[in-house]
Amino acid sequence: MLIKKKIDEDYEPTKEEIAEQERIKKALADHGIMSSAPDKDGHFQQPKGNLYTIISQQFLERYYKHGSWIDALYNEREYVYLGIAVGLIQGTVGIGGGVLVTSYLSAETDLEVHRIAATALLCTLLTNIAVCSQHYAMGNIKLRTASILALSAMGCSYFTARNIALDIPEPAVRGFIASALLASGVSMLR
Amino acid sequence: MAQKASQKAAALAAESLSTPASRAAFSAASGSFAGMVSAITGLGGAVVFVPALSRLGFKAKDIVGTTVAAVTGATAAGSLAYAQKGVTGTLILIYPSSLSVTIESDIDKDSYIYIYICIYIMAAYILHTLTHIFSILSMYERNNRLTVCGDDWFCRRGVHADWTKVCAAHIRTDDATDAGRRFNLMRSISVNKEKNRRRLRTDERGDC
Repeated sequence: MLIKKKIDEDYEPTKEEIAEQERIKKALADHGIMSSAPDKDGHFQQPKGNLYTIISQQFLERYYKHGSWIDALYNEREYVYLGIAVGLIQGTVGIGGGVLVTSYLSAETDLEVHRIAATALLCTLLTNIAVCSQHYAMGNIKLRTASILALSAMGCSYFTARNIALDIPEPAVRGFIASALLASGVSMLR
Repeated sequence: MAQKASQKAAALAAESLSTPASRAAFSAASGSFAGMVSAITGLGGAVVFVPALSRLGFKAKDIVGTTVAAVTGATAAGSLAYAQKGVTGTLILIYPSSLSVTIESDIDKDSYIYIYICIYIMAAYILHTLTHIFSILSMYERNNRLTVCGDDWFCRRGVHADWTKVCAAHIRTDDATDAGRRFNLMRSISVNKEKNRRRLRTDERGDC
């Protein structure tokens, strides 16, 4: 199961858990799939190949971890519940999905913080596109300013995510996220 | 006292952003900072865009619309970069987020809502299709690689590393499973019948 509550550092895995980890490791090695998990130092390995290859490897990693797609969907059902909750809150209250997803995944799962940030970005993308088109149709977007803001943000976001973000230590990123959430809350209260 | 100071600061800021060039430079700087924040935190960057646009003197609805447009660009670029680095996590969160559109209270109930729903349904179908394509491609690859079959865990699920040594009994028993069905489908369409018959003769069966 990918989502699980944080465990103590002193926690010793059971024989079944060790066997399951070994089984996954062997299955991935047998099929030439590189694990997307970070190494012992917390560094992510750069996968080989183009974007298609990288994404297909991620899909196949899930496939071999769980045994079949049905099992993968069932074991990752917490993500579906989280998505439903985020969708409901976002639709009724209007709070951005990224804030909720980042907060929940940070608090309740043992995912790496960089992976949390990447997942939050991706899962809010489609919602943002839909809302953006709605605002465009209503004439709420100042195109000149929006294009300057978006182009500069895209360039910086791409550069940072590719070259800088993964090298920042996890505690620093967590502090950065907390600061951003705090600033967001303060700006809402004003 | 504090109010006077803030009013004075706002007046100074408005004066300093009076020319188009200064406004463009301010927008570019804000966008760059927001892009960095977005990539590191995954929050989208609205926390930077909203104050910046209010400093530029936009109305509330324009602030919201322009912020959403800029955030969309920032998240798209950040997602692409993370995907290229192989860090992006699961995609399943995308499916149920469609609920945010269907129950949104202040949305105009016009044709746009159907467009949004179509976008989400298309995305869901694309993801489902991708998963099946990847699994089938993987089996093609295994077929060509001809590694040694002996992994009992996969054999029990109808997925065999070496198709030339696959146990015929396993194929039949696993036919009911999803993996078994795909296996048999791929076997029937990827190799000719003569080759297939030769593979499944008793003397060529593996002992997995």
